[in-house]
Amino acid sequence: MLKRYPYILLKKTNVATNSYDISLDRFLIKYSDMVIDPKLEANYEIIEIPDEGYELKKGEFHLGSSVETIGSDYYVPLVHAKSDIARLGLFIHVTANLIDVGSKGNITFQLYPVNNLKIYPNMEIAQISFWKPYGHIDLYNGKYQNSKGPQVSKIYRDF
Amino acid sequence: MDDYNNVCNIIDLSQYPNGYELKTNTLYIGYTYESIGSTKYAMSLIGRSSIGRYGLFMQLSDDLGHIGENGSRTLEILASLPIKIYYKMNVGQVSFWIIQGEITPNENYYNKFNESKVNSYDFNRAWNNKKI
Repeated sequence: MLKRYPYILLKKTNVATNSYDISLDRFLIKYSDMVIDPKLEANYEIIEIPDEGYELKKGEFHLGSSVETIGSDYYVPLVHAKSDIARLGLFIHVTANLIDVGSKGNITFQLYPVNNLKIYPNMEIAQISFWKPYGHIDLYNGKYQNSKGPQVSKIYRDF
Repeated sequence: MDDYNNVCNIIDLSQYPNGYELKTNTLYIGYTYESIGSTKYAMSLIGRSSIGRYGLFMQLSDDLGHIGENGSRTLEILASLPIKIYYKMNVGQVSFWIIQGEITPNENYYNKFNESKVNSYDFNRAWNNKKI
């Protein structure tokens, strides 16, 4: 039985009107395979974002992660870009913004820029909102639990 | 009216047991194997995080399904990295959202299209003309 937390590490300074702001941590992941095959473990390199910033090139996909540890046993977190970031043409997720209730860890960002742009460590790029689930809750205990840093896809385990 | 005038090719994933490679900068339209619907809740269909972590957009912008819809959901698919996909692979997730207020199901738009799309005349004709 997992211990129930109302929330994890929410600092007052990051609380916005409807959401909680979260920041980009220093490490990125870039896949190095010519073609991704979901049945196989992917190859990738780890990139450290220097203090002077790292340029994301238009159309180049990277994974990043949040500095903050996020999770809730009572609410369903949803990840959104900060509108400042969206206005610059950077997707911070490409499809899955729904976080499982009961999951805890650093959020993995799916970074996809439609323009060339620079990113910096610790910049606030995303926000989390918390949604109330209805009915019985089974807490998440899946393959991305307790994520530290960006987590590559583990879909190969499903085949 | 042929709704498939602007379709380049139709790809039958069941013919690719070793996976079909999606190219970048190409929009693919797929549909779910499952029939999904509710007369009570609104649906949101998005990709699984395991798919998003590979840079695969599953729904480009419209994740919301109408109340009263029932059938295969159409998927807007865009790959930011070249990636193989497989027939019947788990790619998405549906969540159901409680509605506030009176529900008046929409009966005359894409829900009909979605319900019969796979077997529709247009789809079959397009299939015969354009499948690869």
